[in-house]
Amino acid sequence: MTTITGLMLLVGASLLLWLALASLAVGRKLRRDSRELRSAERRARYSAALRDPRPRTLLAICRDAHDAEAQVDLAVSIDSVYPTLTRLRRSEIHRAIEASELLPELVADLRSRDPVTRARAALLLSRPGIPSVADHLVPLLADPDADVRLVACAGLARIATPRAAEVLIWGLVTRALPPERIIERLGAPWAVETILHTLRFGPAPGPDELAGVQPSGREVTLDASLARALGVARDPRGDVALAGLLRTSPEEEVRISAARALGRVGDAACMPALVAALDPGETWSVRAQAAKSLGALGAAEALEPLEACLSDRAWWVRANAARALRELGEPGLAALRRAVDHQDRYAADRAREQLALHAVAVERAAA
Amino acid sequence: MSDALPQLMHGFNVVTLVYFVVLQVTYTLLAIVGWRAIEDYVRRRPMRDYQAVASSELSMPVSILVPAYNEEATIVSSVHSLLTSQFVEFEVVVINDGSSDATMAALTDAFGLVKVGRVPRSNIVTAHVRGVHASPLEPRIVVIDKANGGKADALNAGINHANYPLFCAIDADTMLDAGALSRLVWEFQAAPETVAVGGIVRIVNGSTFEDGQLATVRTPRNLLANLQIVEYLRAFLGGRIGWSKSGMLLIISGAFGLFRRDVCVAVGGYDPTTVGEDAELVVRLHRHQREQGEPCRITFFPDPICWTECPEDLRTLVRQRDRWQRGLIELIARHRRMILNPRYGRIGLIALPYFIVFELLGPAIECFGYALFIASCLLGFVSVTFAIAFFAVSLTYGLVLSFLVILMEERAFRRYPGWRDLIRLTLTAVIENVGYRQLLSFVRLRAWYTIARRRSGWGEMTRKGFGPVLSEAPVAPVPVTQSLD
Repeated sequence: MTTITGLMLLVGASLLLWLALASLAVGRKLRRDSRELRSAERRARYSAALRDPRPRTLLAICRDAHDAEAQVDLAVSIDSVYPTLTRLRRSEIHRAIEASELLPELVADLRSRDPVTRARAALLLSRPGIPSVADHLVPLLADPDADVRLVACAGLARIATPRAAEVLIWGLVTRALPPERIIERLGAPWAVETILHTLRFGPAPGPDELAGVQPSGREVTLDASLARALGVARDPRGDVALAGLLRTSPEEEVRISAARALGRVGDAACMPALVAALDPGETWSVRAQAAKSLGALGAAEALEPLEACLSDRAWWVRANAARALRELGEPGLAALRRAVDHQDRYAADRAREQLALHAVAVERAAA
Repeated sequence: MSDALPQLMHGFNVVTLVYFVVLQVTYTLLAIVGWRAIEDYVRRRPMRDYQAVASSELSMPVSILVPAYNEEATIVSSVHSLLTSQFVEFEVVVINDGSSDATMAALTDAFGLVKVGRVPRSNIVTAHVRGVHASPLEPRIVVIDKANGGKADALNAGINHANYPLFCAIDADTMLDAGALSRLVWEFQAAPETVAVGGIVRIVNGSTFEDGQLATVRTPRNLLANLQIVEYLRAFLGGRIGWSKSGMLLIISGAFGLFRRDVCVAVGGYDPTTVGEDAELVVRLHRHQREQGEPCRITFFPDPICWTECPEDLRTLVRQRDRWQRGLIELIARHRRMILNPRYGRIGLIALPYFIVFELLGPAIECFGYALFIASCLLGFVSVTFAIAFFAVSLTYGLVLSFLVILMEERAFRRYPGWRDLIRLTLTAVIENVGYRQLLSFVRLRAWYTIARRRSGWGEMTRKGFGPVLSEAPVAPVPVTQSLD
């Protein structure tokens, strides 16, 4: 009898546990369904309020966005609505947020012990692009949590003021983040003037908050990073500075970055610097990058130097020059055809290869 | 003598009991660590700008390596599917590993391949490379045509010719989520000391496709496939996250992982002489980095998803698990110097000993324990009540862990949104603990016999491909390219 009772108890307990867990799974699913519905409704309401000209609707959503889910929903709504708003409307939203209790609450959250709370506050604070918020985000670039640093970096780019650009450049100097993460945010037209100023006169005095930052990522010279940022910005104002760096910088990495950036900026004024960088006295990696950039720019005046590069001593220079010639269109293809009979076997190989690729492309296009 | 047998059996029963308790405690700890990690990830997810990683031209570019052996039926659609990845800069490097069918012709026909000169960027020794081909129609495609040398050899050829600093090794029969690459790359960019990141592999059987893309995720009707879904969820969400968070991840699935190319080249690439080349590479990376005094972050990230087919018949499943276990045995044998060696930190002192006791010897202890336990009960050395209590506790524990991972899935990812799928997974979790796990223990034990017979090779898997509706697609037998999970 005891054995049977024990057996029944154990089997019953197993069954109960199974049922409890199954109920938990069902409960989770139901709760999540309802949360998603609530979130969708809230995002629609916030988006409508951001477009609504009445000030009280803005204040209402500022009052509403206190819990974590609502704050994320507000950030998402701002993201989706902002591109459609006028500058005037954005200023109204800035003022409404600055006048509300939400701003001091979020600023206080930036000092929270919980990294997710800090990141969420930074995310929501930076989304509307309020200029006065930039200084609040500075200490977060030195945050021990990578997520918080990345949100702060993206937030500064969202604010997009000269002050934000200065702080990001200091992020490069102190290696608060891997350089690429800062460059991709800094590389935009709004930051070009500050970048050019820094290239001429050096970085502005850095904020104290970044003094003790733990360096992250590989060490890259500031000029190389700024040259890359100008390339990402694709802003012709950077042409002269980049050409200057390519011609005069003693550091190979800076010259490579400048050559690559010039290929993206796409201005005829930078051709002479790129053509000069094909000189055999230059390092092979700079020559290869210059050849690639000339191809990307479709620079007809580079035809002869590129043709000469087909017999360069470095494989990558030959390969990039051949590809660049193909990209130049008919004049480049004619140069490649001439090179098929080149006495240099390697030059002839690269030319044949590019001509074969061109032939297949033409054949498929015709088909 | 008459007293010796009961004492011996009693002693072994105690050993089995202790083994069981320690194993379940370890599973529980790993599941708790995994649960916490998932909760943390769910909270952080809205802060992470994966879209910026996917679109930034400064994101680390990726070479996707696809080893292909006799994949003429599926290779073109697989490549097309990979090309839809939402990531700014990547190349797809298909390595035709001496296929005897028309794999190369299918690729040439589809992409207008032209033989080109391409200097290998490293010199890992591989079988002869006949040529490198590029496509004028799709510059992101590179095809390496080489003599047959096996999957690891093909991947090494791919590493040699890969253009980018990160490479993603995947199987030709797998499909990536559109945002999978950006999520994995994010891990490298947020923590530069990262050497490798594994993503979750999920089972695609039962799901539907449109134009070679995953349209609806569904659980399959086949019981064996459902059992593997729960098993994969437990392995990845209940185990691998825990190991990863503890800095002791030893396995990154060969079906889907992202690696730093320079470090993999430094360790000599994949080992073509083992069937578990994926796990072996990870252990070698740990070993190399520690020996060089370099930081080594090898982690698992549960959100980027790779979809793969699992076997739906027992014979193929048995062959697959036999191969995985052989890979593990070879791995432990090759890196035995690391075991309990303080030089290798927690990898040598905790992770490898765990794998020896619970993964390598575990099947033997379990199978022997089952047999002896039944014998003890029949001979009256153990009370029936105790036997049933032990069984009930074992079942309950297994159920709790299986349910925990289903809850994790529901909490964080919700890839199976339908009620029918949730009910099916819930019921499967019960069945999985009775019979299926015991069967797998036996299969894994049998791998020792296979090794002793010196059998090797990949075996074959009946694969259906990513047709319009997977469950009704025609069946074609092709060599398996899945690996140790």
